[in-house]
Amino acid sequence: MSRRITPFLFLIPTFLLVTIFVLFPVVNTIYISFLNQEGEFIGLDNYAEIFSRKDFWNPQALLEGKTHSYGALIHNGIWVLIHLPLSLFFGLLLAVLLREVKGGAIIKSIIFLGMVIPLIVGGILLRFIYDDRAGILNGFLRVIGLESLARTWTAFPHTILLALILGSVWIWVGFSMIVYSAGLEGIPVELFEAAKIDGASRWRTFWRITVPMLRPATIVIVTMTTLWELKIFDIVWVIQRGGPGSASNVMALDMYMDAFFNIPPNFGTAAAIATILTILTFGVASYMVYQMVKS
Amino acid sequence: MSIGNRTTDWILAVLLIIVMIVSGVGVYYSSAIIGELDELSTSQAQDYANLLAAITSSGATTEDLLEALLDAISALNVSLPLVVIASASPTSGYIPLTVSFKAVPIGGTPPYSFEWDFDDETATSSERNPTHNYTTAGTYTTTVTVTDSEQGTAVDSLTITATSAEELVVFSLWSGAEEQNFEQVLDSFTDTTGISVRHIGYTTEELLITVPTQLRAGVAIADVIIAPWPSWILNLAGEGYLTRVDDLIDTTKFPQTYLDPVTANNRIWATPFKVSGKPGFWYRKSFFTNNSLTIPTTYEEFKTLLATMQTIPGVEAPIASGNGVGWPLSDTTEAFIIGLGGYQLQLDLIFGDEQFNSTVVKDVFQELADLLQAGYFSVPDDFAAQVARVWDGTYGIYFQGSFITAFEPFASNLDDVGFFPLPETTGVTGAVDYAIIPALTDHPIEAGQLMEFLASAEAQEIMVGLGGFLAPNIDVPDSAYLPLDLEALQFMRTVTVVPDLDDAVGGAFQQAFWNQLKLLWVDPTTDLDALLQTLQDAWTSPAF
Repeated sequence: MSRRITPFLFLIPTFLLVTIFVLFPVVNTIYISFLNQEGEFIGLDNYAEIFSRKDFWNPQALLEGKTHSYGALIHNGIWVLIHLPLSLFFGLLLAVLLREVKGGAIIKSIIFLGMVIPLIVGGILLRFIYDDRAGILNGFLRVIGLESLARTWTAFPHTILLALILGSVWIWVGFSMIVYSAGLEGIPVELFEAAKIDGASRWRTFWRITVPMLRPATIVIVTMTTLWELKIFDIVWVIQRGGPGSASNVMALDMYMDAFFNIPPNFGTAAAIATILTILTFGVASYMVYQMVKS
Repeated sequence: MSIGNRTTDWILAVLLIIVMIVSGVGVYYSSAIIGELDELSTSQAQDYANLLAAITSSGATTEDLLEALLDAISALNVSLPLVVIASASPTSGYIPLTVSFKAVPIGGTPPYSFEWDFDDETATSSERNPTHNYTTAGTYTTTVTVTDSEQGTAVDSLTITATSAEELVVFSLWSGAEEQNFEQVLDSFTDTTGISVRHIGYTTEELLITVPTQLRAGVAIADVIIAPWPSWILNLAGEGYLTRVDDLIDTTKFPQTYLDPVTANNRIWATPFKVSGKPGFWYRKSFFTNNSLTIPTTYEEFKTLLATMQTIPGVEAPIASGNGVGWPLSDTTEAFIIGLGGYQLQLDLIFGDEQFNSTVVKDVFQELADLLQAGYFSVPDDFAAQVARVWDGTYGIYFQGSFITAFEPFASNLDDVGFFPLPETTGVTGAVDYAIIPALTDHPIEAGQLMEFLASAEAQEIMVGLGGFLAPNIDVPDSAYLPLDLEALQFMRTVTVVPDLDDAVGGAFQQAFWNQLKLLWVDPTTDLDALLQTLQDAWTSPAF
């Protein structure tokens, strides 16, 4: 009897901590999302309200192409669509290339610096990189004769989202590179030797052995990167605070504005956005965990 | 030993004591009257030294001696003028500071009556040796007045320094030179009151978010907070987090226009501390002279000036556009709202008496969009960096608050810097920095003292003397200002000063206003109706 109970006793502290610091806030946030500013229960009104906002959900703009403010939810979606594949691609590319390069570890460390610096600092660096006068990007464009393209990329509604996404690839790619590097080290050398003996090309070896064997690493990267993209905030805030217009607005920013900038604060709509974020991230995380278990 | 011998011994002893006392009193009393021991003659000094040696060996205190002397003088029936010597222990310390006072009257005609004034607005005492508790930090001059039976009086005073054990904490948005200037004001307060103050400079977001969060959690880390957002202030007041300041400041010393935005239910919740006037476009005088440019007096002349500047070689754009979080653009826009639509339009927009999507507002924005499309404004860039570009002629003029004169290279070349208002304007924006006291402060009395000080002409004079700011207190003399600030102030006296639009409404509106203006600046062909509707949707009724 005691041997059956003892393991559960050891779990009690963890369970208590998780309940107090994770479960209760999550449940309370969901509860608050059904309240108005006076604390009265209003059902799904907060959800209806945020979906009626053009700076949260504006698919019409995407279709018409008149403005570049598609709404925070869509901007987060665009972020995932562009940032995730690029992070995977460049992470894998760098991991594979640097594996065979002398001094690769040093180069990896330098690339990984993007992950080490605080995102606010990363955002400030991006602001400088894209600056018309001081930025290295515009300097490069001028050197190669594309001066007409030189501008402050983060100042314009049609370029800011892409500029932020590409800039964040630079910040985040160190993570995918390191995970892939670890994954590559875990692939048995015999597999490559066998493929070589069988006459497989490097390209075929890469697609038939490397990529499948990196599936667990890929799942980790996809999960972590997607979660990061959904809750992206720092870079957006420090560069243009969601502007110009709402061209770089994202969900976390909307939540922040409702909770802390509104006078009086609207915790109900902020909690509704938080709940949507939670559902999205939980969905992604659950799917990926399922894939990991399956694999 | 016989009785007779004993009696003789006693008589000799008493005589000796009397001789010592009389000589001692003579010396000591002379010194008390003259006040300077080094003026004593050599023989008197020797007597005094002998007396002190006798006192020291006896273990008696000065007070004991004086009392003994007093009794001896009374016994000898010596008539001396009335003098009182006050002493206290301790004379300094942390509040609450309990001090024991003693008064030693000499001369005059007993009995004596005593009147102590402790200099802290509490009851006086008529005891000879009272004890008093100082609960508020400060430097006090405690006075005792002794009156003898013939209505003769003598006065003595002591300085008691009561220091706050815990320093006051002040939050503001200031850093760099602005913070250094403000710390001079706080140092002056500390010198006057003995209360130490620690200043913490916050960013806009930190102050906007951290303070309400702290207060809602039941904690007031800051004892005084300085912030420029009236709606934010009144919202905190409405939630019961602030102390009203009506009793702490003389409201007749401030223009009503500065008090109205922080007044609710006939209660004033904040003290205007300083004003950042936004008088107009700043320029380099020599640039104008070298290019034969003249200051416009009509709006048409203004547009002609812009067109002329655009043709000057090296000028990238006539008007520099500052960026940061967005306020430089909103300041510029508000100048056009006031200049083209009248100051009343600005007030109507703040209070919701006019809609952002109305025709009159759209006309102003259309004019602004036309100027932008004509290339008269630069692409927004760091607001401080733009000062140097105005200086080197990359841009011609720059709309900013008077604080811009504190930025280099303007600051070192004020003789070559000038400003002119948007021609024909009827008003100007005055962004006020207000001081508030959280109701939860642990030091309400000291915070109140600081509030009183910040509201005073004395404190505001220090701040404006450092340049770039205007004082809301009307008692600050013109002579306190730097010439350029005085020029701005004199211009502002000729027009109506109105609150800053986005600061007054505050909240999410401010962010929306900034973001929409960033959009307009880089894309002046944007749909103005949609832009103005966004502003209207974001507007919320200000709390005042």
